[in-house]
Amino acid sequence: MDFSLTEDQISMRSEVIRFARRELNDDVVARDAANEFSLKGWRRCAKMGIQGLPFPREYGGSGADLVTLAVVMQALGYACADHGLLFAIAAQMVSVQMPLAQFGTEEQKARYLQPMCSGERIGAFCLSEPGSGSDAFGLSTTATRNGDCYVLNGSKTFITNAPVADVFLVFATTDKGAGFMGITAFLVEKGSAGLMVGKPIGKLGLRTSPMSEVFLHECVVPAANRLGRVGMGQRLFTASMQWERTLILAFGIGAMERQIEACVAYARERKQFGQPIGGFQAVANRIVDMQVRFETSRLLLYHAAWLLQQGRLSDMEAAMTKLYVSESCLQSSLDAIQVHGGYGYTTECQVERSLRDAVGGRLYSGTSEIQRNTIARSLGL
Amino acid sequence: MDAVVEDITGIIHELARVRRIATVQPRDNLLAQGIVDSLAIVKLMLFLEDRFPIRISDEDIVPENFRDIESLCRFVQSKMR
Ligand SMILES: Cc1cc2nc3c(=O)[nH]c(=O)nc-3n(C[C@H](O)[C@H](O)[C@H](O)COP(=O)(O)OP(=O)(O)OC[C@H]3O[C@@H](n4cnc5c(N)ncnc54)[C@H](O)[C@@H]3O)c2cc1C
Repeated sequence: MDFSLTEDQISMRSEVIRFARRELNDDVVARDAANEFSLKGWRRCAKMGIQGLPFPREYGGSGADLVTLAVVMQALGYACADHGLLFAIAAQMVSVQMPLAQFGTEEQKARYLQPMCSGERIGAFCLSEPGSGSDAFGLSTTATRNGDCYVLNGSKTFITNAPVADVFLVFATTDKGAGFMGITAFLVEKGSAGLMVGKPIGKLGLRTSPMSEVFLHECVVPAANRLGRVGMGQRLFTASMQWERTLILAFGIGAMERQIEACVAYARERKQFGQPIGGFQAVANRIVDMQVRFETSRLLLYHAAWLLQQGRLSDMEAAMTKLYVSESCLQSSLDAIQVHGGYGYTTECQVERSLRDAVGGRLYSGTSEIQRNTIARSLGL
Repeated sequence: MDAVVEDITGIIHELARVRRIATVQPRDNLLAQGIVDSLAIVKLMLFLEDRFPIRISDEDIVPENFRDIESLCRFVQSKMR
């Protein structure tokens, strides 16, 4: 069992860290306060090859393996302070680009995947609805065949990237009587008649990643824009969920790494009762626990990414990774604030933003409760 | 009753209880009632693969095979042939 990274992965990590520090960290505190998405940052990442990293070369990607993707996303999370941007990019990669790459026709890949790899187009994944979140397939958006087209009706909520998206991957039911097996996916272009994007939704964290509702009213979509076969929506979703649950929080592990460094530096420098606070076991132990959580999260991430690359990842492993990493990111952020004391609570220190950003990790891509349900089911409970 | 029909009826009734549905007729739509939903399908597939000498592929997961107890029994019997 060889746990070492390859030389390429190590040099890519250093390059990405340099890139992120140089190009992605402008005005993050102010942009977070203003809920401002950075299109400039998005395009810079695409130019750096991030959005295309794991996708085939013929569509503008670089065909990297998924462990390399995990290493790169972690490096970005470590060096880039704008986690809203990283979340938005990761969400597009795992939930829009991935199903396009796996289930799209040649035309769809050329039309949508390629410009997403190059950063020219932005994609949004539209599954959740006001009445169906965890019970994702309880959705009520419908798609009715009409000649060469489908007519979509319904509404979607919590849609990351919607305010800036050019393409919406929409899940709708084409056969109500077939339950979750009657769900089909469609690629809906911005500007389609009957497609309306709501006002941006304000959030606790990840404020630089734009989110809104999406409304479909008699929205006509060419049949050629169906992604996968009729009734294949659940399969498509399950495949993208494996990527999502494994990889979406890789940047959060980078944040944990940065928090540990900041805490160690602060605990060595900050003196109380005449000595550095790191000399108090209560403080040191808290940082030790952060380090153990970071290492175990990283191992789970790399292992799951490796299994996914081999086509051997089970739902349980994906769920364990998502559950453990998201909970660890949240706890690590709380610990980092505690180590920094009152200073950690201030906006300037930026640890509080990490905490706000981390809360969403327990909700998106399936809540922690849903991950536990999946694990319990896999254990035969 | 045929063993396949008996076993399948048994597991479907078990899944129906989760949805607080007391009885299921052979032609009741399991998908529309949510008795076989995206969570139940995993349990159902594990059960079928464990109980019968069959392997269920992604391609098999279509409404025609899972819509009701009758179609499910037909599907399992055809797989065993
Ligand atoms: C930052 C962020 C980004 C998102 N981006 C997108 C996106 O791009 N596209 C998209 O489609 N959706 C997106 N979502 C939506 C997300 O997928 C849902 O919020 C999530 O699936 C939970 O659904 P819900 O919010 O409706 O909560 P509910 O499903 O109503 O859950 C409420 C509570 O009940 C619990 N619960 C529900 N069912 C069970 C159960 N069976 N067992 C135990 N507990 C249960 C939940 O765990 C939760 O604690 C995003 C959400 C967030 C926070």
